Amino acid sequence: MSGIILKSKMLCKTFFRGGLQYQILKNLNLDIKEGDFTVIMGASGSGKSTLLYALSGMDRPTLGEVYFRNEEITRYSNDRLAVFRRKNCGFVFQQICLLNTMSILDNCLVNGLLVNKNKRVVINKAKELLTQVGLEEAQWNKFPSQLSGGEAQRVGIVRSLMNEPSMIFADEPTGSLNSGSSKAVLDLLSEVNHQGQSILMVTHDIKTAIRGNRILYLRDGVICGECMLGSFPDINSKRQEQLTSFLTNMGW
Amino acid sequence: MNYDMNKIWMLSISNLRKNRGNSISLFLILLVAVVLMNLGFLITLNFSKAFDKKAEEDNSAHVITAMYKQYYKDSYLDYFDKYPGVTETEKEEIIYLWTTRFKYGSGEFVTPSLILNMDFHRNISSLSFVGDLDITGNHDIFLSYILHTGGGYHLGDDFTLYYNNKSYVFHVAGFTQDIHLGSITLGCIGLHLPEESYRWLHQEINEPKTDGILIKARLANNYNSQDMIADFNQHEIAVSKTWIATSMWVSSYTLAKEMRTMTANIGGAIIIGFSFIIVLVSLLIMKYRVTTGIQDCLADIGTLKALGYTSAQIIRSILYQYLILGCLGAVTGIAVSYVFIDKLSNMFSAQTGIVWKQGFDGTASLLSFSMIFIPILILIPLSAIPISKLAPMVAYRTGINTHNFKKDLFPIAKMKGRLNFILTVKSMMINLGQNLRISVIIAAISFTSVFAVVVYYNIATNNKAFLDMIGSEMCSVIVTTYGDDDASLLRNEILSLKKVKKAINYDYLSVAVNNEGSQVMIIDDSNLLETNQVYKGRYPDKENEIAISSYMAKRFQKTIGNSITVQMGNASAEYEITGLIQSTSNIGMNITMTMNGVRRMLPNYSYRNVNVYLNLGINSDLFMKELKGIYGERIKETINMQELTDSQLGIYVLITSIFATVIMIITALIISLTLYLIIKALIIRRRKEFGIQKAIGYTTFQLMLHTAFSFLPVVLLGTLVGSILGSFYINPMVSLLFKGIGIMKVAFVVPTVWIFLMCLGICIFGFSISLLVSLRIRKITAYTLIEE
Repeated sequence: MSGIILKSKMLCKTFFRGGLQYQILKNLNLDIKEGDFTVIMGASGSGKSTLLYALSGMDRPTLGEVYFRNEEITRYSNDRLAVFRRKNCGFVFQQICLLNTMSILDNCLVNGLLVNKNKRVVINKAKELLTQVGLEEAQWNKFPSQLSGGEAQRVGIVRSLMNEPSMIFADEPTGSLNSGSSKAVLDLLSEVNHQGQSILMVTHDIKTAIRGNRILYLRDGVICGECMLGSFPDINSKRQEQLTSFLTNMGW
Repeated sequence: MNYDMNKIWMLSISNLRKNRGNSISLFLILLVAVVLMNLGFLITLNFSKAFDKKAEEDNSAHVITAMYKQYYKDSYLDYFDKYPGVTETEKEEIIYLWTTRFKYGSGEFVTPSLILNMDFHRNISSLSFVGDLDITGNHDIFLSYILHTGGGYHLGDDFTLYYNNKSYVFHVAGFTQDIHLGSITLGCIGLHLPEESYRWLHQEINEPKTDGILIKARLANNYNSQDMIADFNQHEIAVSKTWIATSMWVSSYTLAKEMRTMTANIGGAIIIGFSFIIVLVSLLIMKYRVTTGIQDCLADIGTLKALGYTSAQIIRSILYQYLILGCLGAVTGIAVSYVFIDKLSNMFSAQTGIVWKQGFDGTASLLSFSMIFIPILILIPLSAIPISKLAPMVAYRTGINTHNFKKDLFPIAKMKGRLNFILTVKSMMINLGQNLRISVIIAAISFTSVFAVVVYYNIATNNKAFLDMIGSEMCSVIVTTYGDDDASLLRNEILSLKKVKKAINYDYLSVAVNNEGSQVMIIDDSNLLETNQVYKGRYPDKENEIAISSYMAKRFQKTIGNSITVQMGNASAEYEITGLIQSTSNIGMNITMTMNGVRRMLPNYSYRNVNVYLNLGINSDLFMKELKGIYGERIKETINMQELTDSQLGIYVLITSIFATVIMIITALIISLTLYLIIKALIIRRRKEFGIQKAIGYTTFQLMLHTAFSFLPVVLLGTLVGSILGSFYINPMVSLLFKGIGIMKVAFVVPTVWIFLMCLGICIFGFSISLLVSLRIRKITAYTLIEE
């Protein structure tokens, strides 16, 4: 299992609503390699986000196991899962999910100080990352509601990077952004991936998915196809065609 | 119109259902408030009325006097008969025992006793039994009901009466009620004996001087009873030419009513005061819930407006929610209060000796209902006014409610301390307004708790301040001599005994001031007294000086520097007022003079009593035996004052213990419900934030601690403010409460350690409750924010 950061075995997730049972994930086996930018695609309701959160320890599968670097995390208690997430995972959400009562700098610190007790180091890192994503000092003390969607999502990405996680889980990170902001956010994700950061992203947008080097297609709770695009250098027509063709085969 | 009303009711009821937990908590707070309020109103409005009713049922005397037969003159009854407004008079022969003793509660009670022949046919103050009878025909006795409720006697028990070093054992055959003779606070107690027992006791005592006469009168208007006593005193002085007032006992309807309903009335006022605090707490919670409810439901409100609901309709739907809760709380509270009224009645009976059976009272219920309903009717629409300023578009822009353009006063980067501490402070500051409201609630509750703790401490544990307040001088033993100046000599001899810390001569005499019956305390060594009754000016030093009670000062429009006339028998003298004293006995008709001052009227009078104060650890009973052994026949009687005081205070200790316990339980309940309501609402409001924090790696316990700790300073502040205010204002408050009975100065000790422990208890309890309610955060998963 060398090079595999995340692995699922016979993963199932079932919901009960209105007395009915909905099986969202069905005996799903999956390996995610270290350093990969893996993208999960699929139609609405196919179980993409459910899979992402089951793999990240945010949600518990109904059956099956999830291994993070050969260690089974599905048996962890809730508190141990919280500690696991703070040390190993970074999250980028479609709804951005910043803490509205805190400034953007505090939003980053509140995550960073959970792992690193050295406040000075954490503050410097937050400032450095915020600068890197193009947020100037004047904006650091603003509240999330005072930022544009794109700016807020960039803060979200900085927050996810604060603890140098082994894996970033991104759930439709550009879902609520305009095209300009989307591009900036995706460039940022591509850049951190080039620096060796593993990313698992869920999207139903081709322009977003094309950033990944491995595309998985989920249908009715089962991975029904996989497309290897290689590392993302630039958006070229060959890469685009390859993805489009894959998606067409998958019935997209 | 009806259709609109139905829609509004539907909205209200659906909101109540949706917030079931909150609604139940608020209902419980309102319930507690109304139970207390209705009980308070029932007592205040009915206890005195019940006294009047009972008096009318028994055709009770409005003026009553007992005297030794040897001093009786026919002109006294004539005077009663001819007095303006008197409708009926009656005279009966009694056995009049000036100093009797009997077991009372855990101690002993010393009092004059009037022994009445119950087979005498009387029209005034007819005999009224309470409960069952157990007549054996062998030395039966019928005790005043207070001896059952306060004294602990039961049907069939033995009752031993001690008089003049002899004991007389009776069988308790029943209990009676009488407004003048059934109290331990009116200076005399009545014991009813059947003919057989009466004759037996009369023969056994065999002292003609104990033959007594009881004269009773009824007036057309009982308000004149106190005036009649004053006038009778003057007449008696004129007729007798000798001073018999020292052995005459009088009571008026006004005096009896005031003394026997005082505890209940003060208790009622305290209960109402406490209930108002709880109503205030419930209103603060309602205001908070309406304000936060509007913020939380901006989208729903906007949607309703978009659908065509007017602001008034939406505000009405909120108002109806609280009116429904208020009505339910008030109606249930009123009903529940009747479950407790018997218990409360029994508690007061133990002190007052009055059987009080209370049925439904519409006025009290209406008052209690209004005190809840009207504030809700005013407060809720005022709190909900912001709704009228909301445009429907907010329905589509719910995010606007979370906008916060204020400056971040506590940035993590600049604050010192660990992350958890910083987050706790931030959490506290984010909800500053709400936290201040909680502080006010906790302060109000702590204030009441301090009141309960201080009153309990000063009555049950360290009663010096309480005795000071009621003007009771506390010594170990009172030694009574046969007079002729022996008490002064005896005092000097007793002083030389090793066990004695100090001894002073201290006597009481009945006199008349401005023709009104009064009691004079004769003391020369006022600086040796344990209790300082003077609250303004000083004790009299010279023979022409006097200190009078605050009640008399007000009644006679006198103050320090004025002069006042005191009468004793045929003699009278004028004295200059040097001080004002507070004293609750004898309806506040009390004065203080020196022995030389008394001798201006009674030149041959000498001290009869010695107040003995023993060293710490000396047993009073053993000391009394020792005294008898040393001084034998020189001592007429000894009284264990400590035991007597304890037995008299026993009932106050019981009442304050119950009050303190109830207040503490209610305090705990209110703190629990308030924190439950507020923290639950906070968790619901911040569930997404908690979800985000969980997602990025915060554990449930960390978030619980942030929440619980963020309320700790709030509880601490409230407790501190409440306790400090309580500690400072307890004495003025008690003084205000008792001003009516002549108490002007109260110096209750504020037990700092007790208050500190109470504050600590409230804080620990508040923190535990916060932690417990914060457990709800457990249910919030990191996944929550995705689901929303």
